[in-house]
Formats: sequence, structure tokens, C-alpha cells
Amino acid sequence: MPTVSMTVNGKAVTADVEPRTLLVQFLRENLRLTGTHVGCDTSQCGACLVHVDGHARKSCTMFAWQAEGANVTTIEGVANGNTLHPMQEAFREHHALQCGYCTPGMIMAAIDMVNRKGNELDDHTIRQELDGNLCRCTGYHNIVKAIAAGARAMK
Amino acid sequence: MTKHDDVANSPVLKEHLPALASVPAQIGDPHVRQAGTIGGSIANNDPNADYPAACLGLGATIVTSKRKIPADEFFTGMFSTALEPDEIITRVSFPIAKKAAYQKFRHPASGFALVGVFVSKRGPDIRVAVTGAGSNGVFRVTAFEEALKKRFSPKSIEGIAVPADGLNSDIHANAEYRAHLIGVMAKRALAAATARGGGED
Repeated sequence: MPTVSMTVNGKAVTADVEPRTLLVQFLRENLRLTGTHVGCDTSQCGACLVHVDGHARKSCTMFAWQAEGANVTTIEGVANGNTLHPMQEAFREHHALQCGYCTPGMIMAAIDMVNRKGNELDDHTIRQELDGNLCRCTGYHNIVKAIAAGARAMK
Repeated sequence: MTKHDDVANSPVLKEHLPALASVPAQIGDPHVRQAGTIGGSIANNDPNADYPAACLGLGATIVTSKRKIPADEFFTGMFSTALEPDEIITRVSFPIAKKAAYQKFRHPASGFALVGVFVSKRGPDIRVAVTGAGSNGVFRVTAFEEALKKRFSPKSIEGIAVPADGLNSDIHANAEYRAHLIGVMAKRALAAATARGGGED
């Protein structure tokens, strides 16, 4: 089996995996980082979003070997010790979740959105940018509010 | 290959061929557009994908590891292309058309084209390419192209019916509905192309 090596949440990791291993499988099953979820497995829902070299990627739709040498950040890697990331804190503050299944992907999408679009995000931009993240519980109202607040808090 | 986001945000394309830059902006979602590429899209040749319409509608040349293939010969049927098993796309070359536009009737759930029409006029070369409708994948509407030779305007194709034969019927739309949509989307595309490219040329 081929060997893959990458940096995940600041730690160097290496493992022998089957070539067909998806990045999300590698994260969840090899590294036991189960905060990254699998919803649809077909690039629709965004529950599996992680950052690969600073860009949001759907980890169900890339092979682990495609992240060879890359810097991967998962939801487990965004907080600073016991202090939540400002975007996580905004989701908590605005009650932007119900069951929580989509939340890790939503937060990784939100941070990527701020990285690309800046700290002042209007509702229209946020809703457009959330095209690839599905929530089946709450509707998106509080999620949009949380992202706007989290974006400002990330300044 | 070039990612969807890079095509959509290319300053060169936005200036010289905005019709092409508009195509990937409607593909998938922001994260998909940061990952998917034009080469991947046309090699797959999904019958509802956008880029095959752009390639055929502009008369692109698909450059591979072995040869150059005109778009007219590249798309050979549903999910089929002229690519051989050991051949890979390395580049896609597009001619600049002053008058060109893409209009897509987006499936509300998947974002794929229920029907998408790409039109262009480059001197005497007039093209109308349709995706999403044909049971054999992307195709050109020669009846529209002939009519547009007189005048490149939405009015020129009024009253010309596209036959429903050979079009897809599924739970989203039957062949007659798709045939009608081709005319509607073609007229919208022609209006956008003439607005973008100026009057007669």
C-alpha cells in the first residue's frame, strides 16, 4: 500500500493506505478525527469540508494521496486550546445549529468565506456562498447571523 | 487544468470572452469551483454539464497529450469523447468571439443545466450548442444557425420549432418541454450576445 504524509492540524502524519482511500476516510478512520462528517458522499452537502493548504475542500471527493505534503486543517484544529475559534463562538452565541451534523462543515465554510471575502459579509453574500452546505434542521437564518457576527469577530 | 474559479475570475477572459467566464460561475458551489476543472468536465462529458456547450458553441480545440481535437469531433455521445484510454487533456484553446453568450435553465436542486444554450458569432461562423437536452449529449441546432446567418438576432429564430425527437424525457422535464426550452434559452442567449457584442457587424 502507498504511504501518504501530510500535516494535519499542525502535526505531521504518515500512514500506509489503499490508493482509493478518500481524505475524509483517512481523517476519520486513520486519525480518528471524527469531527469531519460524511453526509451525502457526493460533494453536495458540505459536512466533510476541511481546509487543504488554506482552501475549503470537500474531503469526500478527494483521495488522501491528493493531499500528499499538504497542510490540512479540520474542525478539531481551529480552536486555540480551550478557547473556541471566533466563528465557533459565534455559532454557539447565535444558536446556529440544531442536531449539529452539518456544523463542522458550516464553520469550515464560514472561515474560508472570511478568508476569501473579508470580514464584512452581507446576508446575500453569505447565502450565496453557503450554496454547497446543507442543513436539514434549522433553516439557515441563525447560521447566516452567526457567520456575519463571526466574520466581524475574526478581524 | 484550469479550475472553474480561475476561469470565472480571469481578468483576461472577463475582458475578451466574458461569455466563457460566465459558464463556470454557474457550476456546483464555491468549494466545487475551487476543485473542479474544465478538463475534468469535458472529459466526463456529462450530458447536462455546461462546458461541453461552451466548447462546441465557440468551436474550441481540445489539446491532448497526443493531438488536437476540434470540439465538433470531441464529444461523441453521452459520457463519451474521442479520448483514447491513454490520452489526457492538457489544454483547451478558445477563439475569441465578439458576440457570444450562455444561458442556462438551472435545475433548482442539482444546479446542472436542464437546458443550456451557448451561442456565438465569429465572422461567418455561427454556432448554437445545446446541453442538457440531447439523449446523445451536447449538439448543435443547425436550423437556428442557418436562420441566424441572415441576421444574428433573437427574432431570426422565432417560429422555428426544435423537434422533440432525440431529446431526453425524465421526471424533471419531458422531451417536448425541453424542445420548447431550447428555443427560449437560445433567444435569451442571442439577446445577451447582441447586447454584449454591439449591433450589426
